[in-house]
Amino acid sequence: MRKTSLIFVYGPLLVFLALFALVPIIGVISSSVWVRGITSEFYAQSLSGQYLNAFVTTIKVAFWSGLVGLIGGGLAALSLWRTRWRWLTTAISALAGVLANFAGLPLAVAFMVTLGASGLVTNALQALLHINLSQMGFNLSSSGGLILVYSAFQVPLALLVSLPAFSSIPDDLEAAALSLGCGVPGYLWRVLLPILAPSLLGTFALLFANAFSAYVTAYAIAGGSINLVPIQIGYLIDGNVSLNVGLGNALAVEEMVVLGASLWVFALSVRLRAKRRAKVKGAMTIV
Amino acid sequence: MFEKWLYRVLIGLFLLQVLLPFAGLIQFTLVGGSGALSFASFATLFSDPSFASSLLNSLWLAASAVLLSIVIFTPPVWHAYLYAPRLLRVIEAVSFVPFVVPAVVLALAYVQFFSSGPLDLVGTPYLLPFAFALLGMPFYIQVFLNRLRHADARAIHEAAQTLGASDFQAFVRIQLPLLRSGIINGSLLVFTISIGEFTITQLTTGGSYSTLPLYLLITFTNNPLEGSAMAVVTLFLAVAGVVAALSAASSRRRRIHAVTASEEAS
Amino acid sequence: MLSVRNLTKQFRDHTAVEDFSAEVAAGEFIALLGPSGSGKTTVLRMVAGLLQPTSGAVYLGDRNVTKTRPKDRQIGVVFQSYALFPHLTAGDNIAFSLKVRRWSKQDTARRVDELLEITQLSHRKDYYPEQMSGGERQRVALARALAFNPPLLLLDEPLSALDAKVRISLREMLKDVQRRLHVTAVMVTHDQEEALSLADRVIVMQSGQIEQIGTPEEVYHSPQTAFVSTFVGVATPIPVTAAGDGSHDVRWGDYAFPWMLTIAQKRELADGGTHIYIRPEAVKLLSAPTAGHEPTGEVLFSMFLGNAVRVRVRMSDEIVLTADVMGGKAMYRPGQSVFVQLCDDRVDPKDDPQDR
Repeated sequence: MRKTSLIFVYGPLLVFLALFALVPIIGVISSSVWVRGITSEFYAQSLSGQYLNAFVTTIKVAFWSGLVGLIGGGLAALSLWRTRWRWLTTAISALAGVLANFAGLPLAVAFMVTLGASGLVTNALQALLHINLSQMGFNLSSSGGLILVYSAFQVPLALLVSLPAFSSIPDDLEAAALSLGCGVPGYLWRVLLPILAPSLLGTFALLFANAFSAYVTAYAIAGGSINLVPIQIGYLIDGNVSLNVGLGNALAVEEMVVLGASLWVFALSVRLRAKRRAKVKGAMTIV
Repeated sequence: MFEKWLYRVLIGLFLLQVLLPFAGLIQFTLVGGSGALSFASFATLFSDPSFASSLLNSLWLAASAVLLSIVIFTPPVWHAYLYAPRLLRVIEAVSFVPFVVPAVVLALAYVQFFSSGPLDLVGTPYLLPFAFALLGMPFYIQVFLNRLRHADARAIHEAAQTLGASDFQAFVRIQLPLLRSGIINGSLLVFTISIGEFTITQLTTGGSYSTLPLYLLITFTNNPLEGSAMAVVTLFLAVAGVVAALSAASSRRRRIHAVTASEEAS
Repeated sequence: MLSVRNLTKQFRDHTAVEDFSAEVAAGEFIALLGPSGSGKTTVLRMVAGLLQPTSGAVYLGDRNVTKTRPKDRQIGVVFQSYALFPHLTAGDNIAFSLKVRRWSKQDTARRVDELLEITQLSHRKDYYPEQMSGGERQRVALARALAFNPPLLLLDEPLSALDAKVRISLREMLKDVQRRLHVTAVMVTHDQEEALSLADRVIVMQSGQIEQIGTPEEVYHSPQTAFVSTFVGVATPIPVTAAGDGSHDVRWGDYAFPWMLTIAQKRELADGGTHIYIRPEAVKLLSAPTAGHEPTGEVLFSMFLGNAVRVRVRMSDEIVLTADVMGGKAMYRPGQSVFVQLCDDRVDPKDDPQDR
């Protein structure tokens, strides 16, 4: 292909990335440390008071919803893998794909009408069993409530991400373990778990990042009544961005650092898995 | 035996956990108002003129985002896959930007960058198709790359060239039909993401431009019944998008299987 | 017809092809034979124009096509994976090159039918590649590459993806089609049997360089390098000197016997000594020596091959001969002593060596 036509091939992508990703993001980073000179004022501000609390709450929600998601989604993936129902796996993957990626807002609405202050289940529990959820301390817009809501997309995401890890396990492995005198539970615990550990850690990192950056669900359910980092950033944009641009930018940079670190762990685990699979293949051809 | 049932129970629990809120949502939409089964909430929704205008807004934004994705992402990914594997790895890594820079941060960046000068786009919907294309980029590129890897695209392109086709002829007559399913699947994902996008739409237009998700949240606050009917509709659209993507991938294969089977039978 | 001059291809960190030159006459069938990584496919791709050489030139006739794009070279290529267009039927795959050349509808249809007939695929015209067997796909790929009457056909491991039976029958068809259409063909293969049975001349390659160019007979019986002797069939080199008795050609120890020598070997022999390569079918095992002072050796092991028994015989610490005993009735036990007779079946026993 001629050199000139390469401009038409790569040019649009370069312009697009520069204009809608690179330059705006560099702008955020630079103005988080620069107001007529270098300053760390915004970072100091963003790591104190209500903003520090926002980090604590966000980490808490992301950690626990990630853990719930990992256990729930991991067990579901394990079950699907062990039962070997192809069509069910396909159907559930599709469903999980919708829920994990595209369901933020409808999900929030669904939880509000079922478990909200006057939700269907809340009222039914009150009427039938005289259980008052809010008196028991349950509140959908508390961090506990959010952990519950977030698991509804964290569990499907964990399922999606860990399924390939399970299916990369060679079938002979179980036969080999069993022939060496190890029971099924022993196989799962002593052979499978150590093999899958890096993948599971990676999955957890991805779930953590996912919850850490979630905005719509929390915004729809709790509005201003929960103190999360994405919500704080949204607040700073929404009305009074002119008041404190630098603070918003500092929070945004911190958010990107956390996400970058989590996704780096995830990418590392994926690469490790690929490498290990290559090794297993090599070993098999040698035999 | 015990093990088998344990797995079935676990799968059942998963489905229960995932589907229960939506069962609640559908039940609320259908019987929540009067206590009797009724489609009134959907009737209210579909007769609301601002629903129609939001739907229209969402559709053109999503269609523009899809068009942008196809035009911007397809040629470089294709070319890099065939001729520049190192560059492809860079493109792939860059495509994951939206995972590190979430929608809120992008919105914050756009509000500052596009607020003045020749690109004063904040407050208008014209920024949105580009933003949606960026959010859809990792999905589009992964799906398209999957297709490229399965299709033996490089050898097929070389074959077309040795048979006398120019680069352009080979791309249009051979590569596009060959990779069509990847382009369609990727487009459907970008479309689904665009239809459901809330954060950037709300934060860069200040809520002045009503798309389906914005309309959903406002309606839900004013009239929970109509709002949840709207949530059902949105969810249905998302499911339809993903199912369409999956069936587009398998329909060709099925057609061919049917032909072979009928010939074997005769 | 095709002339490749001093072709070199340098990749980032290694030289894939070094100073490759070869002349191919019109109508000739050439096999590029070598192990994987020997650079044979790289040569083919440079001839096709799919890869730019670092230096050197490719001529088609008198035309220097080194810088010509593949679409303008008029060379048919059969790819290893076939690279059929999956969304087109067999007929449309074959018609593709004619459509981009704007042939008329009738001419295109006639040519497609003609090629389908030659490749015995008429009943598969409206089938998609996915609906066909591997052998049928391979034939579509061949027909497609030949459709626009290219004077030169390149084949990249054309039979390697097929199972053994189909491979043999397609080999015959390939040779037949090539002869009938008088097309010049260059085929890349790692299968020595394929190369020897199909080609008029074989170019053996290793590590990016030519080891030997010659007819199948020359390459098989007179390998010029140790690599060729071991890569093409099984052969053991033995040192020989001139027999000097008039009725024999060479002498190995006390044993003198007739052997067809190349010119180079004759020259070396005149200078003192040379090596000849002994193939399994040239070795006869005897239980007692005849008058010719046949040397003796010890059987290492024997192995049943179906139509023959292969016996490995240790003659000395360095030399282990391989013998194929046809019929397979004779039993050889490890440790047994045998006498070895060497017979070059290219030598007519009544022929006097001085006249040759």
